[in-house]
Amino acid sequence: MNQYRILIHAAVKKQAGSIAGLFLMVFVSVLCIFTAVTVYGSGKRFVAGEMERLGFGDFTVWVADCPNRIASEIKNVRGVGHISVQPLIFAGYEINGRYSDNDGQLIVYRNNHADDSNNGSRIEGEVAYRFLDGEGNYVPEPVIEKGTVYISPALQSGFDVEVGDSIQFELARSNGIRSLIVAGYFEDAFMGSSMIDMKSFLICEADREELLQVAEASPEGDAQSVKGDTLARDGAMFHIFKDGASTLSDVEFQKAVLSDTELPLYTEFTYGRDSILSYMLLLQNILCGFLLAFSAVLLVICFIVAGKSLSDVIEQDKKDMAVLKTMGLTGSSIRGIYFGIYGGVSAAGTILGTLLSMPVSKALAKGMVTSTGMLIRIAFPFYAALIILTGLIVLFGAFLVIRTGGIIRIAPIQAIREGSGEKPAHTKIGKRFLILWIAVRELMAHKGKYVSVCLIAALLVFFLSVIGRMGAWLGMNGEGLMNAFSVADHDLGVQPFHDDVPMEEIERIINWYSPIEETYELAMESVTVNGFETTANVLSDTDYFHVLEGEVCDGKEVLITHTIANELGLEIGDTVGIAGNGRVENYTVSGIYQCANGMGNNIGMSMAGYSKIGNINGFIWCYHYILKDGTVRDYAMKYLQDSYKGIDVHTNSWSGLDGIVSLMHGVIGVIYLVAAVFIFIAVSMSADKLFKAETGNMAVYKSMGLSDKDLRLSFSIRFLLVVAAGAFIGSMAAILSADSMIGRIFRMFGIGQFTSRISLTGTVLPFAAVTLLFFGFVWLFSARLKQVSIIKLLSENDD
Amino acid sequence: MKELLLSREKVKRNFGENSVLQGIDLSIYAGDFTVVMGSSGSGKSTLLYALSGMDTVSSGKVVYQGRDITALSEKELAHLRAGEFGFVFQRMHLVSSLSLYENIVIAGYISNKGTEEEIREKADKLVERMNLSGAEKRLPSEASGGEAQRAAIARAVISSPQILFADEPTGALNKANTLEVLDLFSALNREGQSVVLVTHDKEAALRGNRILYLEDGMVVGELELTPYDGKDRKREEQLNRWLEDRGW
Repeated sequence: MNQYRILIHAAVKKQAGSIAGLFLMVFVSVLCIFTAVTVYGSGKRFVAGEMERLGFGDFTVWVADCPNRIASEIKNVRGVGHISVQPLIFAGYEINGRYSDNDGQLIVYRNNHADDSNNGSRIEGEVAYRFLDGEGNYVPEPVIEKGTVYISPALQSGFDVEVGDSIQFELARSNGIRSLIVAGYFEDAFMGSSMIDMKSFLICEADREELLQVAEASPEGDAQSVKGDTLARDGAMFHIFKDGASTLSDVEFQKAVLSDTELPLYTEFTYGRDSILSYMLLLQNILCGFLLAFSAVLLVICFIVAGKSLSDVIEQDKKDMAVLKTMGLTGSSIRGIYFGIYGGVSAAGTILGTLLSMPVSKALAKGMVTSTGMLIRIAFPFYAALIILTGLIVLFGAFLVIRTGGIIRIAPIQAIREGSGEKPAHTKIGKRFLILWIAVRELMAHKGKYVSVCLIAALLVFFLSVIGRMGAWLGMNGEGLMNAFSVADHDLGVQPFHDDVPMEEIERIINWYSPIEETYELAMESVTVNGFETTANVLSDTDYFHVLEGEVCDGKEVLITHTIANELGLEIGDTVGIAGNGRVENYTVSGIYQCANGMGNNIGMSMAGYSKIGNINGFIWCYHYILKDGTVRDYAMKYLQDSYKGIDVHTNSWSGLDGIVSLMHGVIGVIYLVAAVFIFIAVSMSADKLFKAETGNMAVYKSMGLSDKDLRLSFSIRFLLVVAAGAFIGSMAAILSADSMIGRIFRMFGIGQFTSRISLTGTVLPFAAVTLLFFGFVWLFSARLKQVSIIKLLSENDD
Repeated sequence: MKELLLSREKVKRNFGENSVLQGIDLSIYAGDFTVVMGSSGSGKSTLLYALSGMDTVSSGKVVYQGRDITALSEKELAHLRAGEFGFVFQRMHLVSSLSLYENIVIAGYISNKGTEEEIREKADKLVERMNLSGAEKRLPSEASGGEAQRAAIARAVISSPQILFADEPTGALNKANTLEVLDLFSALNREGQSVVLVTHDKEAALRGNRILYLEDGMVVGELELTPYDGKDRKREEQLNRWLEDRGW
């Protein structure tokens, strides 16, 4: 066995660069794969588990001003197992000068361990939340002091809020603002994610009583205010559970509860367990999806580079192998040496990547707390790991078997005698641009060796283009998501809640900031479509709907989203029964439109259409304004919010959007960083082999009078040409297929259509970044030319 | 009085702890056909590489036309190799991806002496003179050893160098090709080309008019001969005796 030890030692010494490169690539790829799978699996399990533990129903209905009898009515509906009522107060709020678009939900929380009055058990509707400190670490369950509030960590990214800041809750129009000091954070499994604009706040019993008193004591009696008023309202979450024996589907169950009770009259919004889970996991799933897709690209690159490197190593060592064969070693035993080295290195990279994925996942989970709102408890995905590792072993095994197969076929004498090298294509050699012509000729002479570089560039540019397109679509301020989630484009929305609101004056002020170019009205009302609870987006001008297929709707028609179409099996031309406020009317589906709000669970109606089933004269209308200069919208919003009460002013954004945009931009940055690392490794491995293959010619050029700089430039230009070709292929592939690919993924999140255009981040940047990174790394790598004399280079070639 | 082209002052070249050249002083004159002889390992190739700026020296100076080339920058050295020096290797070392013709013409381009047209014309003439007509489009791997070496000589002289260096240029050739290549060197020298040739072949050495003998990194002998003019028994005997005295 001594001979094997010597041979392995010699091979490892000779191929140290390739081996180190392969190890790094496998390590990074496996680390990315396992981190993505671990965070995905742990997140899903943890959030679903927390929803279960905290008592989210098969579906949960948020109600306001709802009589107690409704809960009893629901209990009597066929198929209902039980109902849990979680009381809350709806109230608008302001943090650090920013107003929320949605009401906050103030929930009473008691530390039962510190409160002996209830013997440590929780009363109906109370749930045991988990608490976090500002750094995202769990802290013991606190006793909530009077005047303090606990919030979701996701508000940190939306409102830049921290412990010690105060939150102003609007309870009544006159003298009805109460401030509570942020004392800490808690995990809200129902609406904690920054993807959900609804946010809950934990307060103590004493504060709840005081807040309700303030609201009830207001002159107009705001506690019983009209639906849609932003001022305080008594409300609750109805967590409704299916009977264990029920055979109803989720949709049928929801329909049954809503149609057999008066619940729709008091409903603010309704979400099924899967919908909330999807919302809660949306950001981490996007992140994991990116990471997993990127890992797949990295793994493919890893195989390309390793395959090329192994072929080159075998080609270079062919004569040595032949000599070993003449000494009596079999092809299988020589192959075993290579199999052992490369298999061992792959295994080491896989093991290290797998092990390190745990701390990396934990760090990632902690870093995502301000976006996901929850500190995901990371658990090793045992079964998934088993499947992935088996897959990797099979892949690496098959790869090595195929790649080392050539060793068996080496005939000793033939290999010792034969020369190597490809016959170059005839390309121009001219005096002008001589360095370029030399680069082209050498490239053509060794074109087979550059194929892997071309493929890697194509793959990286394709993937970065896809990511870049999504980034460009998202926009610097999240405009893409704003448009996808909003019913219709607008810069500013103002919704008055009483007759005293001076709308003409408000419009004059908006005009002062920037001329109003267009205006229309929007109402968002709860309705049922064929018995299925959804939101009707009603527009005064239906031309503002983002229609994807078919036509805009008139008074007898409705628009539906892809989500509704799939959920209810509807097509354009179908007739649907829409109910609201106790009235039912039939409408024809005129088209499919885009609005991802509620994960796409909504329909579009005209004002004339909605008037058949609802009252269009209440304070349901929000006036939308499109400004000549949209950049002033935040200033206008702030001024109006500070100056007028009884109105809701918002832009086409939501509080958590900043966090989402930051996260997405961060992800894109990390992906570029990992891509740069991979390019560096790929260059080191590929350039090393190419350098060796071309050493002789370069030495000859040098002996003829070309300088080191000329040769380095020529060597780098070869990569530049190949990478540019690969990058072009990648860019074209992205142009042809990225939109449809992303579109299919986006549909899963209720975004019906994705279209991108040629942009800096989606097209130019990936091409330029990959090409220049390759060029730069090759330029640096080729610096070794300076350190070697011509004679040394020539003698290397002779070897 | 011969014009001094190149001189070496106390040049040393060490490889690790081994000293291959031990403080050599010598001069190369214009128009000479200088032959460096010596047994294997005597340092003759190392001397040639150091003289031609192909390799560095450990200490001492190599002065070319008044300039110490050991102190030149890499760019200046490259310029020197491109325009002032020509080099012929024992193993040809042609660019494997270029045809024989391209190997010749590209050296002209690099030297940048003349327009592209002029360089091509010169290359065409050299192809004819080196008896490469018909073989010029072959790749080095497709050419015979003699063709490749003749192309290497043409490549070395296309830039009209001041000195043509040759390291065992016939070492890898058969007898017929050896003769052909040596005749080319002699013809070039007759036309005024200064040649410095390293060899351990007496036939090759006979072409020179100045023979240096190297032993353990030191010049231990120098022989002046009349210029080569075909087969001359007297010159041959003179060289043989001189070599015998050195234990050849």
